[in-house]
Amino acid sequence: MDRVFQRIRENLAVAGTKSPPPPPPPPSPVPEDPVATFRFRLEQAGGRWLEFATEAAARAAFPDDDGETGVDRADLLIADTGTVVRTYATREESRVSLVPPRTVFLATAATIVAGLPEALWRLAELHRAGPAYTVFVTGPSRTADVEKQLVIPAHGPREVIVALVLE
Amino acid sequence: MRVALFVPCFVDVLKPGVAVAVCRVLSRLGHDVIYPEGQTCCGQPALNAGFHRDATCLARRLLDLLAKADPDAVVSPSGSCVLALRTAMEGDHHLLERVFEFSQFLTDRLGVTDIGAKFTGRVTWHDACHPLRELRIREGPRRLLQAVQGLELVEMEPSDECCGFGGTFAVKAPLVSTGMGERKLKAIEDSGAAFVSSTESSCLMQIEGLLEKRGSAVRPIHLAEILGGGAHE
Amino acid sequence: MNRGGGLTDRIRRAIKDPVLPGNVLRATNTSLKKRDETVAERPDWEDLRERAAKVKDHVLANLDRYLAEFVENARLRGAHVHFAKDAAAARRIITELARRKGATRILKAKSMATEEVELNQAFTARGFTPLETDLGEFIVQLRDEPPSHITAPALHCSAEQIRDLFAREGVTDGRAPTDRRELATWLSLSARAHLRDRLLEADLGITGANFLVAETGTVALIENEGNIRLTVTSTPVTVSLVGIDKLLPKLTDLATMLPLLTRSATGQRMTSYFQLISGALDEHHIVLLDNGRIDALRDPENREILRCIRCGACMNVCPVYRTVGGHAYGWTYPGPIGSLLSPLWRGRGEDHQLPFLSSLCGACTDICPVKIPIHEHLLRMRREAVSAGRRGIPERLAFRIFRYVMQRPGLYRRAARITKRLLPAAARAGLLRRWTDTRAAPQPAPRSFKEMWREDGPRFSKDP
Ligand code: SF4
Repeated sequence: MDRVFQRIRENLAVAGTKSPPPPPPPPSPVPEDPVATFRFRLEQAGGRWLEFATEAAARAAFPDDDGETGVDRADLLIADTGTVVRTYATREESRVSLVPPRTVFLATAATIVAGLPEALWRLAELHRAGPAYTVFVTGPSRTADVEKQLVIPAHGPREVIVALVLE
Repeated sequence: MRVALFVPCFVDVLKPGVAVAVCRVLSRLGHDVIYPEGQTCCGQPALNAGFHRDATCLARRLLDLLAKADPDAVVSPSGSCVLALRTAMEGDHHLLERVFEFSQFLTDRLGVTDIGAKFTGRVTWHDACHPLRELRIREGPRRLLQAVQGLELVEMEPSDECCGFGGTFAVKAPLVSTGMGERKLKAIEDSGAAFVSSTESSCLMQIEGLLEKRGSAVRPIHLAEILGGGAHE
Repeated sequence: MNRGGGLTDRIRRAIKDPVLPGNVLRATNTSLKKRDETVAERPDWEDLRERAAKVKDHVLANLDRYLAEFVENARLRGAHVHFAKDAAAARRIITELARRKGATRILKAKSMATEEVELNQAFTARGFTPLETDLGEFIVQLRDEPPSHITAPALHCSAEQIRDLFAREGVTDGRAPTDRRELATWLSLSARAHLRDRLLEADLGITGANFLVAETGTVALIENEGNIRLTVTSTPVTVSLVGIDKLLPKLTDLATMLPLLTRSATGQRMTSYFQLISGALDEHHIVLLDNGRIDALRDPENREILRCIRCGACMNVCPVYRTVGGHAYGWTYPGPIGSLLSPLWRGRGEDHQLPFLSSLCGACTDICPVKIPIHEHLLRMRREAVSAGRRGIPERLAFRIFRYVMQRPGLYRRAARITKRLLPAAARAGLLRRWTDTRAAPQPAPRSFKEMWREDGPRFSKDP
């Protein structure tokens, strides 16, 4: 491996321009109503939006033992793209939002961030600290490999529901 | 203004009418048009084929020759030749900033859009690549055409895809060049226009060759020929 | 295989194909339209491009540092990092690993790096072929051909072709819907059902990566189908083969790159899935691929080409690609960027022809999300081919004569007159067939402009 770095350094030295580090991405514009923006983008991406008074009510609506539904929770919601962000402890755990035909993400409004930069700022700390596995989910799985025509689902869930718990 | 014509070699030999039209338009606008003799080629074919030194040598020769006439501006009915001069010289010649593509000279340098021309017919506009992407010529020619009495401008979709000419590319890869040209033809014909116009005689040559081969009724016509054709009022 | 024969043969075959040009055009048009729509909603698009170019330039100029940082962080988080100097080394490392693990059921996520090193062929030679899990890749795998586009591998196929292929290969029972509009859905869902069991459990998963993040040792993967997530989670061992040009310094740099990539590639604000894997898998092997990239760092001009994030937009917009499709180019990376990468990374004789296969229209440069002035590099590579003496003697001679004549106005006049006289005869004699086979010959004017000017010059200023 040392030899590799050596070769890279030699090649860079030939034209040794040390360009300055680029500035971090600018923050996203903060939406007036983050919940409404998230919901709009989620639905645009083919996801569904539901609201429940309590977590118990949400869980009762989606029994997760029918093999049809994977009930998961959202760590963060990205308003700008309608994305759910979820950090899993293991690869097996992540299958809950991948294998069953339907995924339900329980979420609270407090987890909404404006855009991708904000989500990544929060995740950076986690990933800097040690091993981590994060998945961003935006709507159902899809493909357009046949004549660029959109087909839902592909190999993942056909339905993605974000269930906002109001309490 | 004392304006020198820079007439690209293929315009000189194949489409001299285009240069005549440029001359008419500029004179009509009250400019003193001169044609410095001894012009040959700007070197573009060599430039695009990778023969950079040959291209630079020809570009310098042409610029020096034009500079000797001490014009206020140099105008050419080909944006890609203007660009070839810049590229070959890497921007390094005192005359370059006074060299203009014809339509850009009218709209940007002189600030005119209505030169009082008339032309009867439906015209569609081909955005030639180099003027469009390197000289950022897009709205100018359209404004000029819209000001022409009797002319109806119809857009083809897309107007900005390459016609497939590309200089020596047209004969180095004739099949690809023709395939590209046929898409352009379809766009032209779908627009319902009777004429197709552009800033570039070279693109129009490709389009003309294809139109003729398939017996299309659409006629190619250079922007200058429309503007320099007849006068209204 | 559609990549056989010389460049000219492949071009001819593509253009003469009864359905290919139509398929390519339809697909690229759809992609472009969606791209334009989602780009239009980012008023800061130009600013983003500018930033992305700066990020990449910075990483590439400090690649030694960021690579070291990545390796350290990935290892700290439990990943195994390998280095492959060339395609053969990459094949050896990965097939050897599969052998050690006794892996026979191998899943493969879409990855251009694995195409570049011809990994599947190496596995096939050992008796088991990895299963391509991306629908487009699955289609081209069944067709026994490489992908023809870097983000849409089967873009050159029509739904009917895929229908017949699936019936032949037993993916479907052949009872396809008769309504064309239902075909894409039916085919895609059939492929899902056909592959389902094999995707849920296997021995080894192979992926590429869209980005590597130095500060966190992260492998970042973008997708829509969920097949990459399955590849990663259905197997106890994961291998990611990644070009070293994919490094980013910080996790937050993804916020600059991602919106550019997804919009340019598929016209999406965000893809369905985006995974950040920072050493958290049971067993993760990251194979860092050189294969010409380190050599390309030497020249700052070439370094600029390494900014590429493989969005495929330059292919969609390229009039040449749109005419001939991807296989004609002859290597993993087609289109304008491929015409730069092939000579740069592979550099076989024929690869050096590719920079000449362009009208230099510049559409690629305008669309590139990381602002690579692609067509200027094509021109530069032409210049380099000339100075390296790679162009044939006839062409060199032709330009020598050209220059000689064009420096002498008298000679030019005479040459012009001769051309004028000989052009019609030459056309009739078939000497201009490379033009006249498909286009009418240009008609020289009776008098050149210079002659007209001499004779009537003053009259031009009067209205006709
Ligand atoms: S060169 Fe630019 S446009 Fe082409 S694939 Fe790479 S990033 Fe995309």
